[in-house]
Parts: sequence; structure tokens; C-alpha cells
Amino acid sequence: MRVFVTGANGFLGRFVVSALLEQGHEVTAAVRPASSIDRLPWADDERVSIARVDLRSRDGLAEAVAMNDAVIHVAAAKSGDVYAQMASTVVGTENLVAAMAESGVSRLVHVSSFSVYKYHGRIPGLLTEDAPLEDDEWRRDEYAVAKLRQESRLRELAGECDLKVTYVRPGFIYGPDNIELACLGCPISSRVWFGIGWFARVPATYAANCADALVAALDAEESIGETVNIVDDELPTRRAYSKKLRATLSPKPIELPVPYAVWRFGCWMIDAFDRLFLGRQLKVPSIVALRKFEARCRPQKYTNEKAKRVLGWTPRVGFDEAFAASARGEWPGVPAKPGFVPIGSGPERDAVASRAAG
Amino acid sequence: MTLTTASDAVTVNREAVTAPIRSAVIGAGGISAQHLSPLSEMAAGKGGPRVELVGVADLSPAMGKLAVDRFGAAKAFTDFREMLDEAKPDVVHILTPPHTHAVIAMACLEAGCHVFAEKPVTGTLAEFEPLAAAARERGLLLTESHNYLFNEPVRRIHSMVAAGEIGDVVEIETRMQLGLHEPGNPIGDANLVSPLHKMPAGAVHDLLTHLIYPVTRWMEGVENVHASWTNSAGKAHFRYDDLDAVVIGRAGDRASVASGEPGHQVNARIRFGVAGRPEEYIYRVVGTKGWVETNLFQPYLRRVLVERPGPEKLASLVNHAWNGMSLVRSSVTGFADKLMQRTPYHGLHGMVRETYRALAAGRAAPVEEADIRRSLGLIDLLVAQQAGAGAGRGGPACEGDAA
Repeated sequence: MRVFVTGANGFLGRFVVSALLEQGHEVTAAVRPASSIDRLPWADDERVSIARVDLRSRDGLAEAVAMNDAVIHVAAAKSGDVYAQMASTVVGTENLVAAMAESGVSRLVHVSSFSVYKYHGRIPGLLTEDAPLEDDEWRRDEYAVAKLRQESRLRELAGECDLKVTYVRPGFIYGPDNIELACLGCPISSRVWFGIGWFARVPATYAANCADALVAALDAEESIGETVNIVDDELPTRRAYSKKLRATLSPKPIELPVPYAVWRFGCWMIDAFDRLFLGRQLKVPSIVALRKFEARCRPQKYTNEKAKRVLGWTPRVGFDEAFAASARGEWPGVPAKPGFVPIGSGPERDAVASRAAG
Repeated sequence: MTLTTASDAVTVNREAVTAPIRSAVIGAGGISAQHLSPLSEMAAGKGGPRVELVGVADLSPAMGKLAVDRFGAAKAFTDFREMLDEAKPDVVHILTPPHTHAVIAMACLEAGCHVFAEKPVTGTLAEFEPLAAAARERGLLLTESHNYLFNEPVRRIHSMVAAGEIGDVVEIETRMQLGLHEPGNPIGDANLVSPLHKMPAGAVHDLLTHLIYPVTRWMEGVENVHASWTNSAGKAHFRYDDLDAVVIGRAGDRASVASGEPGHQVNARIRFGVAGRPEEYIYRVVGTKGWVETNLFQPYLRRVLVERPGPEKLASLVNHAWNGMSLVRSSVTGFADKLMQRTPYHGLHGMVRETYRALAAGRAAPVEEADIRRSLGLIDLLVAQQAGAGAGRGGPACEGDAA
């Protein structure tokens, strides 16, 4: 099928395009008008067409979406104030859905986020798809507000426009140029870090594994209307992840371990002072802002059981291999067409030879 | 050219609005938070007349809902005319891009609403005229955001001038550096070209109002204008990103407190650039007995007076000591402001509150038609100095050119 991918030249989008090509799909890669496509290995591939659109505007969007069979919606803002992120992430989604409705495309795989969950108060120790969503959004960061409202708005629109949506919520996605995860702790300089909650698991997924899950969702009819969490099978402890991460840096930083409860108590003190004396006006870095800190660092257990069951997906790259590839800065290349046999590729050479002989 | 008189000399024939004042907002983008924040506080009975936030209109339902959830607006609309019919506001804040203001403002005035428009209310003085006439006919307020006049350091500067501390005002400088080409700046974003670039002098035109109203506050007439517009970074979607202008005019009443004789020469330097760092907005007022300046983006107050208590020869020492103390205080308050989320927009909050107090009392608002007219008049003169203005570059019709 031909799939429209938003945010196609972004971090995750590049893996998604590659995974789609590998599975024999064709791609319409939505790329913003002024973005460079020089680094995209598939920019000149005949199976990929580039659509120059900005989701904040409806100009040309319906035309770009038409002729596709499905959409994987990866694009979202990661920086900016709440209004800038709302414009890109939520209004962008409204515009995308309007374009889909206008062009008769109804299948959508939506990339949501673990940031939509609630991480304070009494919540289950195991984070499943049924865990409660954030109910105190204005004390979270702008990204969480926008992603929460994006998913909520999409659910409304899916009902109004008869969309067939799969909601995919990945944990921390790592890959090339993106291996420093917010849950690890707090760097106080390039030489010294605080490692918070050393023995908690990192809810991580390697970008290639996550992209596979999104592509698998396209083909999984039973995933329509479902929400699935994506984390890999091997979830390292923060200490193990941090050790690998620090080994890639020069000079290698020293990490000072701090128990989660101790750091949280400090955040709670700041929060109480703000509530009692400052009328909730205090703005502090997110690592010491109580709700933001909890969302980043609260130790929990995670499962990918539903993703495996509903999507028929299994993460194919293990943590050690995935981290090493990420640290080397390996981006996905252009997969060959299915059935294509590279010349001189060992066993395949023999297969071609025997087919030719036969 | 005469720029008309100051608003404090103008009497208004306007009925007081009975509280609670029914307020609505059109356009729920970034700047809306700075309007909705004081409105929601007044709705909660804090710092102004009682307000009822009856509606928010935005083309995006999600943005409207954000305003409802965050600021307690009664209802979100996607059609502003439907909101005017249904919510029947007393005051409407127009916060959409400037090229849409004229149509929306006229619809609001025709619906009997006072209008509080973001700057610039219109691109040219000519576009403003029918709106001003419609407001006058109906006894309605048509005001424009001149928010920096309400920032604390600017208020202090104006108090000093009013007290005659720096004598008669003879020079004004407004100087802004903004990183329009920095990543993430919506004006510089080449992916989605802002409608601001379609204004007669491009995106700088939108920001120009902030540099002009502190100047026209002191000037009653303009004698000579020289403006140099350039596109320093050469970005294709920018018409200009740099302005350097000199204005020579005649002082109004506010500039002549010390002598009591308006009409003396006042020089102004107006500067906008994109390359200088850190970002700044310097406002400097020079008088016959001293000068005073501030930077609104990193607030401080510097003041040098000719007359100081004590021996005349120690005046410079006293000035330096005063400024040293002032800078130390500013560094502490600046840090506290950062922690407490007090931004340069606090002036806008103050202007909203003062405007509502004026409406509730039936008296002149802090920014009236005459203030807007003077600001737009000088902007027209500056815009007319573009290379090729009036020869197909989209420059405004300039009535009453400088002598």
C-alpha cells in the first residue's frame, strides 16, 4: 500500500519510511517546505514521493494525502511554548484529519506518547494501556499538554470522521543523535551527573523497533480503535543505560547516585513552598518541578504484551546492538525491494546461481 | 505634519459599562494568554472591575478549548460572528493576524462592542479611519495594545519626566534587537510564511508599533523623517529585517513639563535589528537636565541627572552610585521575575486592567484614538521611506507628508 508519513524526515519518521520500504510499501513522505532532504537516503528512491507540506496549514494537504491508502502520523513539536506546540501538534492533527476526510483516506496509525499518562498519586505499578491519563496537565511540560490534547482531539475526530485509528504510545525512543534520555537524571556539568533511581527500568524502545511496530499496526486489522504501548523486550536499568551512555562521552562524566525518593522529597519541598507562599507562580527547571520530575523519573514496570498480541510485533533488535548502533550514529539506509538480491552477497549469490542454472 | 493631540487632552463621551463586563477574545494563539490571564483574574475578582469571560473564537476547536480549559472562558466558537450574536460581549479583544483586524473590528463595532486590538490595529492610518469613525459614532472604545508603556520601568521613566526631573524631553531612542532568524521564531519560519510578511513593510511593520508609540508620546508634529530599510540577512521571505530611522519633530505638552512651553525640537532615533545579542529593547529619554534609560527585556533603570543634592562636582559620583545600586537591585529583581514568570508582557496585563477600569468608570482609556492615530501616522511616514514605496512596493498612501 502507499502510506503518507508525517514528520518523515524527523528522528522517528526516517526509521518509519525505511521500515515501510522494507515491508514492500510505497511512501509519500511529508516534509516541511524549507526542510533540507539532502541527508535522506531515500529522497531519490522511486518508491518515495516527497510532499512539501506544513501541517499547520491546510494548503495542499488534501492533495498530498489523496492517493494514499493510509497515514502514519509521526509529526509533533518537541520544543517551543505551549501555543507553538499546540499549533504544530494539535492543530496539525486537526488539519491532517480534515485532509484525510476530504480525500477519503480513513486508516491512521497515530504516534502518541507515554507522556499522556498520569505519574502522580495512586497509580498501578505496572504501566499498561489502561493506566489513568494525566489529570493535572498544567503542571506538566508543554510537550505533555500538547500530546495529551492531540490524542484526545483525535479520538473526537475519529468518531466524527469515521477514521480507523490505532493509537500507539511509545516510551522513550532512542537512536542516532538521541541517546540521552530524560529519565536518567540530571547532569550538573559535563563532568558530573546525578543518576536518579539507578535500579528503575528505562521504558525505552529503539527507533527501528518502534518503526516496525507502527508498520505492523497498519496491517493489523484488530488494532483499529486500540491503544498499544511500545517498549522493547530488554529494558535496561537506568544505571546500565547510563553506564553505556557515559562510555560514549569524552571526558566520561562521573555519576552520583541519588535515590528517587530523596530527590522527589526535594521537589516536594519546592512545590509546597510554591503552593503555600507563591501562589503557584514559581517556574523552576523540570528536573526539580514535582509533577514534571515524577513524569520523567517515577520508577514503574512496563509491558509490551498488548503490542505483541494486537500488532503481531516483536522488537527485532536487542538493547546492546541497538545502543551500539545508536552510539555510532547509524541511520537507516534504503532497504532493497523485497526479492531483490544484492550482487555478491554470499548465500544469496548461490541462490541466484542455482535459480539461473535451474 | 501634525500628529494630533494626546489622549489626556481628549474628552470622551462614553457610557460606563456596567460590571460584570462581558468580555470575549477572537484568536486563541500565543498572545491570547497575555490577554486572557488578566481577564480570568478579574473574572475571579482580582485586580480590576468584575469581568465575565463569555467566549473565545478561533478557527481551531482545539485552540478554543485550550482557552476554555485554561482560563475559564464560557464557550469556544469557530465563527466569531456567531460568538458576537450568541455571547453578546461588551468588549472584544482582537488577537488575530493584523491583516484581518479591519474586517473583524468593524464587525465588532457594528455589533456594539468596544474593541481592544493587538498592535497594529491596522496596517495604515487610512485603514484605521473608518474604524475610528464607527467607534466615535457609537460611543465605543477602539484601543490598541501599547503594552510596553505599562511596564514598570517605563512607568518610572514617565513619572520622572512628569516630575520634571530630567527637564524637557529633547531626544528619544527606541532600539530593539530580536532574533527573528533564530530557529523556532515564528516570524522567521520559512516553512509556514507568516502573514505578517504581507504587511506594507513586511514583518518589521508588525513590530514597529512598539518602537513608535514611546516616541509619539512626546511628539506632537513631525518635521523630517529619514528611514533606511534593509534586508540584512537576505532571507527570501523577508521584505526587510532591519530599520534605522531618524525622526525630527516638535514637542507636545508631555515633553515640556519643565518649561511649560511645547513646540521645541525633539529628535528620535528608531532602530530595529536582528543580528545583535542579547535581544533587547532599549528605551532612552534625554532631557535638558538629564537622561534615563531602561532595557525592557532585561529590566534596569539608569539615570544621570545634572542636578544632584550636594556639591555640583560630586554630581557624577552620585549618579554612578545611584546607578550602581539600581543595577544591583535590578539583578535581584530580574532573577526573581524569571522564577515567578513575570515577563515583559506584564505591561499588557496592566494595560488590560486599566482599560477595563476606564470602561467601568466611563472615562478615557489609557490608549485612545488620538494615541493610535499619532502612532499610525508616524509608521506611515516611515513605511513611505521604503525604496520604491508608492511605486508598486505596497507602501501606504501617505497623507500629509513630512515638510
